[in-house]
Amino acid sequence: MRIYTRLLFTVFISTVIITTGCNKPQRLFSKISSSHSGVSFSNQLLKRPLFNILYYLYYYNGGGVAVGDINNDGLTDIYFSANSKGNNKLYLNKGNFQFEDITAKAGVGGIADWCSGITMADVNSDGLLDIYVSAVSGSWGLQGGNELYINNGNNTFTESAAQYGLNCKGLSTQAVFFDYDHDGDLDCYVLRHSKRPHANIVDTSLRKVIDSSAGDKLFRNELNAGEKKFTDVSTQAGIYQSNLGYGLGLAVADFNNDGWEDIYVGNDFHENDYYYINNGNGTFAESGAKHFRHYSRFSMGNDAADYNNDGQTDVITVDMLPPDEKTLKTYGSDENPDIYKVKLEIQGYQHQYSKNCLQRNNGSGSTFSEMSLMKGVAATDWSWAPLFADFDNDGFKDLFISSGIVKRPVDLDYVRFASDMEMKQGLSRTDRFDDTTINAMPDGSSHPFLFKGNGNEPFKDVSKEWGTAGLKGYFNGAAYADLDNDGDPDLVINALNSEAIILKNNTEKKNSITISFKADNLNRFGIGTKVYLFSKEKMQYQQLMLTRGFESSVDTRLHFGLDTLNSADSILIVWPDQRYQVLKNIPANKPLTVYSKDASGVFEYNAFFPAKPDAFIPAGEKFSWKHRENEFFDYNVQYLIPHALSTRGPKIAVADVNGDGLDDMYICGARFQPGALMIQQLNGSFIISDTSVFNADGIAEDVDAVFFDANGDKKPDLLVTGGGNEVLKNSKEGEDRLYINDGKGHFTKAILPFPNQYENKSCIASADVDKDGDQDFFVGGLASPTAYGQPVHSYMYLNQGNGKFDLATAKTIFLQSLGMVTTVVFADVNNDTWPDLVVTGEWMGVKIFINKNGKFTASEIPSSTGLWQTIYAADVNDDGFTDLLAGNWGHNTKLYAGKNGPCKLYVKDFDNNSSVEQVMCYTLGGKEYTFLAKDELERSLPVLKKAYLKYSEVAGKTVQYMFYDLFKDYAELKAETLSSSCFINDGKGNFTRIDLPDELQLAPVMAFAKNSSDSPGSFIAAGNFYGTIPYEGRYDALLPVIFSYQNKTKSFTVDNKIADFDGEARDIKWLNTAGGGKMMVIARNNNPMLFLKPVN
Amino acid sequence: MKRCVAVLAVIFAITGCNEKKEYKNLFNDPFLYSKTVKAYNYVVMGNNLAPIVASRCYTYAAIAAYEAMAIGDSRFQSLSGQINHLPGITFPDTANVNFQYAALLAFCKAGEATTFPAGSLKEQISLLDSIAKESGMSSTMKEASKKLADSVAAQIIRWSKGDNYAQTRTAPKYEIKTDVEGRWVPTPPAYAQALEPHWKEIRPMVMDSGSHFVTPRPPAFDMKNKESKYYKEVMTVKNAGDSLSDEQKHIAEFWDDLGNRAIVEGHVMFTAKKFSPPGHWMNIVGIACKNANADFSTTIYAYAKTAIAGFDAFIQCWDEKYRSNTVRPETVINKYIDPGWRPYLQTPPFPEYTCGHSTVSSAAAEALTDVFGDNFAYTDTSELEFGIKNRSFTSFRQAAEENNWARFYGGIHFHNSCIVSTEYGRKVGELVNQRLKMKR
Repeated sequence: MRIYTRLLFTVFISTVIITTGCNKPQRLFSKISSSHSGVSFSNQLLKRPLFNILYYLYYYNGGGVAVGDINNDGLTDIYFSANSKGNNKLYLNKGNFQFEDITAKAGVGGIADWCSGITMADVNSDGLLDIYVSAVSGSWGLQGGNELYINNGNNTFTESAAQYGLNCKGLSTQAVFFDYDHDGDLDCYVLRHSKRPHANIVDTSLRKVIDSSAGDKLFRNELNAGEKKFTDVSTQAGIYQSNLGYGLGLAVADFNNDGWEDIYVGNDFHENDYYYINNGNGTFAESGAKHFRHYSRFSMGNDAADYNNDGQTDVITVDMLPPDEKTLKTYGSDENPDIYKVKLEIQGYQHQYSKNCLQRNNGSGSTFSEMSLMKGVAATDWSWAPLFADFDNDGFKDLFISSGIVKRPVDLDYVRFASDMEMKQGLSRTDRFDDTTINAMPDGSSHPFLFKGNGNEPFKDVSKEWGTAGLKGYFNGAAYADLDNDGDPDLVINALNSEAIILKNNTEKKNSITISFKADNLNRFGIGTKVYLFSKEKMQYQQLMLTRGFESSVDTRLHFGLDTLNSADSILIVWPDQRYQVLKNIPANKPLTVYSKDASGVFEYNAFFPAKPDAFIPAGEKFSWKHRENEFFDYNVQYLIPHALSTRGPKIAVADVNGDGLDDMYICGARFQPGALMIQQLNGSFIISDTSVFNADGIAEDVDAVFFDANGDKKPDLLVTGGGNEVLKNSKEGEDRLYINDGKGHFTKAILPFPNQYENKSCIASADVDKDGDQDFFVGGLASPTAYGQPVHSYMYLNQGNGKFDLATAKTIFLQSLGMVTTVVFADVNNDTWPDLVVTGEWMGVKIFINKNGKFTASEIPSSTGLWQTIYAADVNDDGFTDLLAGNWGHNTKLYAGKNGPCKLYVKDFDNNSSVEQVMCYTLGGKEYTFLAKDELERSLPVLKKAYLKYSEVAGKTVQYMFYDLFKDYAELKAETLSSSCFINDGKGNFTRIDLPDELQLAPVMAFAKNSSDSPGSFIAAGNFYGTIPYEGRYDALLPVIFSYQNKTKSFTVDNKIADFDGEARDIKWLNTAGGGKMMVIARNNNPMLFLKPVN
Repeated sequence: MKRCVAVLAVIFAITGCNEKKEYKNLFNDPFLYSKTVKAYNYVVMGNNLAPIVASRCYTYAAIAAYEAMAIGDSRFQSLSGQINHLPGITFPDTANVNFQYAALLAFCKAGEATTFPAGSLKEQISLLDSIAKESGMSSTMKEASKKLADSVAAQIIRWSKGDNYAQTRTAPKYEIKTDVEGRWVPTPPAYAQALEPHWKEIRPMVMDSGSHFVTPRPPAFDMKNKESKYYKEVMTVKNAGDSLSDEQKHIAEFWDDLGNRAIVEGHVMFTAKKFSPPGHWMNIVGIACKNANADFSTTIYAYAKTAIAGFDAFIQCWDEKYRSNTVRPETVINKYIDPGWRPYLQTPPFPEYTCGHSTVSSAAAEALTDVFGDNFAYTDTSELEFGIKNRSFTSFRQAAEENNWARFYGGIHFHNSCIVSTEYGRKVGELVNQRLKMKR
C-alpha cells in the first residue's frame, strides 16, 4: 500500500513537472552549461603532504572571480583563480554566453602555488584592464607571491609585479585599487590574513606590531610622478599591519560622504573589523568603535552599497550562522559571557556576534544600525561573498550570498571525535590520522542564496524562486556582470571541487541603465565615481568600486534597474576629484558613457543633499551625575534566564517640587548608587539636592519613582520602589521608600505608611482610583530573583486620606500572581471618568483592569502576550479614546528572525535539584525548538548529558523530543507577538493591535513620550538592551525616533531620528523650563542623562 | 571501537583459558579490581569532568566497593559513623554472596551513577558477568551477589545525594571583575569559565567543613614594587619557565594530568584528554597494590582511603581558591612583563591559590603511606600511555614533593602556593588517617 502510494505520488509529481514544464515561467536565473559556455574551470584542491584543513585554517576558502572587458570589445570577460599552480583561467567573452579559454595564450595561468583573491584594474593607466592576483605563500611550502598581469592590448599579458613593487609575499587574501590620495592614479590596498594560532587572545595593543607576512599593506601608485612603481605607505597612512588581523573582507567606499574613500576590512576570529576613515591627507584613522555597535564575529566577505536607496553607503559582512535548526544546534552557542567580557574590558575588542551583519548607515556614517536579523539576512551558513545588485531591475538592490564549506570543523560531534582521536592516537603529534579526522567532519555544502530587496522592507529569500536553491556545493568568490548586455546582471561563481557556475539573468520587461565611465586623468575607468540616479520619487546610489564580495571584482560599468520607467529623470555623476555633472532625462536600455571632461565644479554633499533638519538639538551636559550600574550578572545566578532583569534603570520622576515653575526630577539610582534629586535652576541647569537623605538609601536599586501627593498637603511627595534581580530578603535593598516634601522642595524619609514588600518590583503609578480626593498607587512585581518565569504578586495601596495606605483587597482588585510585570499606566480607557489600570510585562498579555466605582475587573487583550517593556497611554488617532503604545522585544532578534509562531518559556525544576530552570523556545512550522543548544542547556540540566551523548541526537529536534519524560507539569508562558505595537481603542472595549514601523522594531522599546504638545499623534520612542548572552547578542540598533500616526492610512510613519545616540534608553521625560520652554531628557543605563531641546 | 575490540579480547583471554578454574580464584584477584578502576578511569576521562568532580566519582565508587567488601571481610569495618552522614549500611542475606564479585559490581553501579551516559560501565559489568558465568558461579550466587551490590550501591548513591552536589550545579557562577587587579580571569586557550566556585560547599568525608584547615593568605598582588614578594614570585615563575631543563620538562609533563587540554585549530577547539590528578593517583594505588602484593580486600581499602583523602583535599583547596580568587601567572606575566609568554603546561580554569594537584597529591601520599608504609619505592608507569616516560620514586611523599615542583615548572602556579598546598594536603591526609578506622 505504502509503495503504491509513493508510486502514485511520483507519477503525480512527474505529471506536474511535465505539464508545468511546457509553459513554466522561467526562473530569474538559469544555469548555463559548461558545454555551451566553454567555461569548464573548476577549482580542484590537490592533495599535498602536511597541508590540509588541519594545518591551514583557510584551506577551504576557495578562489575568486574577476570580470571586466579586457579587450575593450564591449563584452565582459571572466578570470578565475585556483588554489593550485597554473590553474587560473581567463575566458574571453564571445557573446551569447560563449567563451574562449585564452589562458595559455594570455599567460595568466598563475605562477603561485595558491592563488586567492583577484581583481582587475587599469594599473598603468593605458585604458586596458590589468589583472592583480593575490597569493598565499611562504608557509606550508607554498611558493610564489602576488602577481600583476599588465595587459599588452593583444589578449596577452606580462607579469610585472616585481617591476611595480607589488610582488608581496605572504598570506594575501585580496586587493583593491582606488585613488586614496586623489592624485589621479590608482593605489593599492592588499588585504592579508594571519596564520597565528588564535588560541591565545592577545591584547589589541599588539595591533601596532608589524607582521611581515600577515599584516595588511597600502601601496601608493607613483604613476602621477611618471614612475611605474608602488611605494609601501602602510605605516605612514596608519594601517594596522599586525598578525591580529584575519582579513577576509575588503570594501572601499565613501561611507561618511566627505568625498574621500574609506576602507572597511572584515576580520575573522577575535579581531574586530576595521573601519578606516580617510582623513583626506594621505592618512587613515581606524574609527570602528565610534561608529559601529557590533560586528560579525567570523567576518568573511563583505559588500558596501546603498541597499535602501537613501543615498548612504551601507555594508554587509557575512559570517557562518546556519539557517537550519539541525546544523545550528550542532554548532553550539556563542562565546561564554566570561571570556566575552575579558575580551572587551581587558583586551580592548569590540562586540562581535556570529551572524551576517547588515549595517545600515544612519547618515554620513555617524552611526550604523545593525539589522540583519530583522531584515532576514543574518543566517546563510558558511558564507563567503555577499553582493548587492538589482538583479530584477525593480530599482531596489537585491542580495546574493555565496556559501558552503567542504567540511564543517565546528560541528560539536566532530569536536568530540577529534578529542577522542587525540586521546587515542595523539592526533596533534602525527599526520597519520589526518584523513580519518577530516572524514569525520560533516559535509558543509550549501547553495548560493538570493534575497529580493525592497528598499526598507525586509529582504525575502528567493533562492528557490530565482533558481539557486537547487545548486549544491561549496561556493566561494563570485561576481555579477551583464555578460550578454541585455540590461540585467548575470552571476559568475567560483566553486570548490566542481565547475564554476554561470547564471544567466532572465529578467524581462524591466528597464535599466548601464553606465560606463571615461576619465581624462590617470584613473581612466573612473574608479570611485559616484552616481545618484533619480527617477520618479526614487533615488538610487552607487559608487564604482571593483573589488567586492569575496576574493572577487565586478565590472567597470554600473547598472541601475528602472522597473517599468522608460527613462531616468536625472543622473548626478561625481568623479573622484569631486568634479560633477548632472544629466537629465536619460532614456533606459541604451548604453550610456559619461566623460569626466564634461564635469566641472566641486561637489559639496551637503549642498546637494541637505540633511533633514534635526528635530532636537543637544542641550548640553547639565550635571556630572551619571547612572552607574553595578556589576551583577543575572545569568550567573539563573543560568537559563533569557536576559538580565537587573539593568532596567534608571527611571525618572518629574515634578516641580519647590513651586518655582521649573520642573525638577528624581533619577533612580542603581544598586549601591543613591538616587539623585535634581532641582532645576532658572538657567536650565540643575543642582543636586538633599543628598544626605538619599545617600542613606544608596544600597537599594531604585526601580521606579513617582511624585504624588501622599499626605494631602498638595505638595508632591516622592515614592521610590526598590528591587533589582539580586537575591534580597527583607533587607534595605528591596524596600519601598516614601519621602515627604516640606513644601520648599526638601524631603524627609517617612516611616512607611504601608506594608513594605521586599521583592523585585518594577513600576509604580498613582491615581485617585476611588475618587475620594486623595492619591492611591499601584506597585508592579517583576520576578523572583531565583525563579524567573514564576508569576509574582503586584499590589495596590489605597490612601486613607491621612497619608496612611491600606493594601487593596482582592475584592477591590485581584493582583495575586499577576505575572512578571514591567510596566503600568492608569488611563480612563472607557471614558467613564474612573481611572482604569493597564498592566503588562514579560510573557504577559496586556491586562486591562476596568475601574467601576473603585472596584476593578480584569480582562486581557486577546493574543496580546509578549515580552512587553513599557506601555504608554495616549489618544493616538485623536478619536477621543485612549489608545496604548506598547514597547516589545522587537524584530531584530533571533527569537523573531525566520520564526513563525509564538515564543514560549517553560518553567519548572526539570531536574529536581530545587532550582527552577527556564527553557525558552521558539516556534517554527508549528514545532517548538529550544533557543539554546544542548551544550548550554546541559550546564544547568546535566540530565540532558546523561540522556544524549551526541549533539546530533537532539539537534533539530523539538523541545518535547529533547526533554521527553521530563517535559510535563511545567508552567508554560507565551509571547505571541514580539512586535512593538499600538493598541487602538474602539471605545467599545476592544483594542486592535497594529505593528509600529520597522524602525521601532530594531531593538526592545523601553520608553515612549509625546513628541510635543501641539502634535497629538506624534511620539518618541527609545530603547536598546544589552543584558543578553553573546549568543542572543546585544540589541543596540535603535536610535530614539519620532513617529506619527497617520489617520489617512491608519498607520505610522517614521519622521526623524536622533542620530548620534549610543546606549540603552530607559526613560524619556519632558521638563518645563524657564519662560515656558521645554526640554527632553533621555535616561540611559550606566550613562549620563541626555538632554535635548526641540527645534521649533 | 578500538576499545570494544580490546574488551572482547580480554573476555576471550580470560574465558578461553580459565573455563575450568574456580570462580573464587578468578574473582579474588586484586588486579581485576584495579582493572575495573582503570576502566572507570577511562569513562571519567571521556566525560570531560573537572578534576574535582572526577574525585567525587572515584570516591563514591570506591566507598561502595569498600562497604560491600567490609560486609564479607571481618578484617575491615564499615565507614558508617566515621564519614559525614553515612548511615549504617543494611544488607540482604549474604549466605550465597561472593563478596569480591559484589564489591566489583558495587563499584560499577555507584560509578555509573556519577558518570554519563547512563550505563557508562556496562561493558565492564558484562565482562564481570561473563567471567562469573563461564567460571561456574551458580546463578543463585550470582543473583545474591548482585543483590548485595545493588543494595550497597543504592545506599551509597542515596547518601551521596546529600552532598550538595546537585545544588551547586546551579549556584551562582564566579564573577569576572575586570577592574580588580590580581583577580582571576579566564585563561588561554579555552578561556573556560571558572570551575566549581562552590565546591567548598560539598560535604566533606572527614573534615568538619571546607574551612577545616584555612591556608595562610597568599602574598598580596603587587606588580608595582619590584621588591615585593608577589613580584618576585612572578619573576621566579617566568624565569624558571624560560629556562626549563629536559628533566624539569619531564617532571612538569608527568604531573600535568590536565583532564581536558584544549587544542585550538582554526575554527575548532577540541580537547586532549588525560587522567585527572585523582585519576593519576588511582593509577598509583593500583601500582602500589601490585608492588605490595596486596590482597583483594586490602586493594579495595587502599583505593577507598586514597580517594577519600583526595576528595577532602580538593574541598580544602577549593575553599581557598574562591576565597583568594588569585590570578594565574600567565595572565600577570602577559599583562605586565611579556605578552607572548606561555606557560609550559596549559593553565587549568580556576584561581591559582592554592594548588589543587599539590594538595590532592600530598593528601593521597599520606593515605598511601598509612596503608603501605613510608619509603615504599615504586615506578609510576601511569603516563606511558600518554607518551610520557615513567618516573621512579622512593616514597609516596617524595612523589608529592616532586608534584609541587611540577606545577611550578609548568608555569601554572607560584612555588609558594605549591609548598603551602603540599603542607595542607598533608594535614588533610593526616586527618583522614587519624579519623578513619577502616582496619579493625
